[in-house]
Amino acid sequence: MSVVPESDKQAAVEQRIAMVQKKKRQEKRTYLLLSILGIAVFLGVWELASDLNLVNSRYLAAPSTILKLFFTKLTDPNPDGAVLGVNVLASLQVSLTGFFLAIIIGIPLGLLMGWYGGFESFVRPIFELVRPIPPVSWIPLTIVWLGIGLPAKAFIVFFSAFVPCVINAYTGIKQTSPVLINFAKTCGASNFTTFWRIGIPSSMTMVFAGVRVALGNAWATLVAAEMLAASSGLGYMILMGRQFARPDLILLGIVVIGVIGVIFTAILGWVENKVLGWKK
Amino acid sequence: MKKLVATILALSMALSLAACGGNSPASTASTAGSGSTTATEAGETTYGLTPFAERQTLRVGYFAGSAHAIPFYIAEQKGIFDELNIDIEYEPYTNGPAMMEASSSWDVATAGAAGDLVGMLGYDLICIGSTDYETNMGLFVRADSPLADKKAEDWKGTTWLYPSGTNAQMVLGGELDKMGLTFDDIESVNMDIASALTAFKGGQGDGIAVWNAIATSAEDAGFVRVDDAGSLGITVFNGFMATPEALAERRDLVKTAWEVYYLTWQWCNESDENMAEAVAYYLESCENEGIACDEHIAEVVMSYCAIPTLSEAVSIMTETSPDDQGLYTSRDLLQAEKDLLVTMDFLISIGKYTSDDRNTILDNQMVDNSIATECLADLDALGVQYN
Repeated sequence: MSVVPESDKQAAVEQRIAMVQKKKRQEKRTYLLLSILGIAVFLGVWELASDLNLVNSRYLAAPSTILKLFFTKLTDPNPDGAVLGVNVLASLQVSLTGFFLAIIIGIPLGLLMGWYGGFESFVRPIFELVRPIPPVSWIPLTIVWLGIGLPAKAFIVFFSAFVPCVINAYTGIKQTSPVLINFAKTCGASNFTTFWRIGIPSSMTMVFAGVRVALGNAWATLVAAEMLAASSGLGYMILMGRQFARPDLILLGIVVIGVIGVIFTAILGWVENKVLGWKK
Repeated sequence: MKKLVATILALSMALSLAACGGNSPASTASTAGSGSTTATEAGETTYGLTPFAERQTLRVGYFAGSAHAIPFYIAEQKGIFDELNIDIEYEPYTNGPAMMEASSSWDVATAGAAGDLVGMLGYDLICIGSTDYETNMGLFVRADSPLADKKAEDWKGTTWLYPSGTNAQMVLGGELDKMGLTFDDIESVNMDIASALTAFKGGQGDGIAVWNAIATSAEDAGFVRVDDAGSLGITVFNGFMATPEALAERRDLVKTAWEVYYLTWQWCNESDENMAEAVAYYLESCENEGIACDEHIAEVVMSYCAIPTLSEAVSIMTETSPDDQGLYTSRDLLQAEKDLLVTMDFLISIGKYTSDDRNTILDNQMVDNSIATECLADLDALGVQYN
């Protein structure tokens, strides 16, 4: 009976690992190509439908028209009164202020509600009352309370992003394994230490899921927030597109919001991988 | 228990239905006397118009809180449409662009020039008449504000709240122009007029540009009217719009709506009693649509209302003269076109539209005088009295 040398075994294992990794890379490339192809086919069909007049260009501008407008708007403030860069910066300021406030306030609130029964009893009734209120319905009161500047617009965005942050943090910490909690208690950990060392880390997957929803909501509420009052911003640009019957301007605003949303989702995914790498 | 729950659900449904069926223009078709028309001869109807043989439904794009929409409401409430065998379905809006986007939901509507332009350029809508020449489109500042003195140095750097791309902006532009300023000298914040007034009351901004009931509310709240379209001599056109489908398929109905609109306004102006009744109808309409209004505001708004008489409306739609700007030389322009172009040219000057857009409206004759001329011929043939 021949004995396979240890070095050969090692080489075979490494070869198999390399093959699996290569296959994974190939799969990844294939999926990336399919994604690009999907977008290209979608845009191609859209462009073709516009060229063949299957859709009225006054109701749905062609992708080429939107691309042309994109380059025009880099330097031309008309018709909405601000160049694209100014609009993007104004919207980023509003949405990110609201979004980060929601994270800073919403996640700790949800975690505390989920861990401390007394705090939950104290806060939850108010939260449940406020939760179903659509963010847009706050606009009239927001004007009175906070005026028409950044705080008012950020508040509308905050409200839409705050709710998923609280709910997911609450649910996440509620789902902490009782085995881990009991183990910590057995080892003599205080309630706060258990909350800090066991509860919070185990809730992080749900917390990040909530942050993803919050990010989407923050961008989705942008147009409504800029309806309140604005002189620049992507939502404002969309509103002006409506005001002057310019579907190309509306679509450009929508596309830019979508692209920025994708970029932020990717950044969030990267942060999530870094923070939750230990879970994988 | 189940019976109790079922009873509660049934009651709540019944209450919901009752609430939906209020007499708001927002609700649905007029039911007053629906199908009960007895008048069959032209002479038997209030205005001497000929009723339709079969029941018709006219869908009206209704600009809530605007005086230029009120003749439709008055005519419906007084049973004028009913005796002509017409049901009215209201589609209420509070801004022109939204109304134009939803033009598939209505046959005729009245709206400000900015909305009319959106309708023409974006949705092929046709202007078939002129309505209110709105002078109650004003600029308001606080009582203690130095801006009331209208000095350019005071106005520089101030913040103004108004709906961008509307006649309100044109009036503000007129004031700035008078002082040798431009929009670059002030800070503009885009807001709908109701929100602008709320924010202004809350201490935001240095001035507002608003119209109609909101303008009167601003005055009642103690704010000072710096100027308005009337005092600045700015023509603020409001159009009578119709969809191409309605013009092609329900032309007689559109013509009747046109005739009833101006004849009702004529009725309003026949006596003080009639105008008092019209004011009450305006107030009722605002209450139905949730527009903040009271008797005083209603009176002021209606006193500002400058809808032309039927003869004037026909003149506006038929008299022609060369383009004041000298830009369009293919033909002389209708007075209504020239009035509409006041807003158009302003919006071109601030980069909102282009001269191509201007030519599109004129080349395609999107201000169409055929309804006005046909109505005039019909009214003369029927011997209807009008002024």
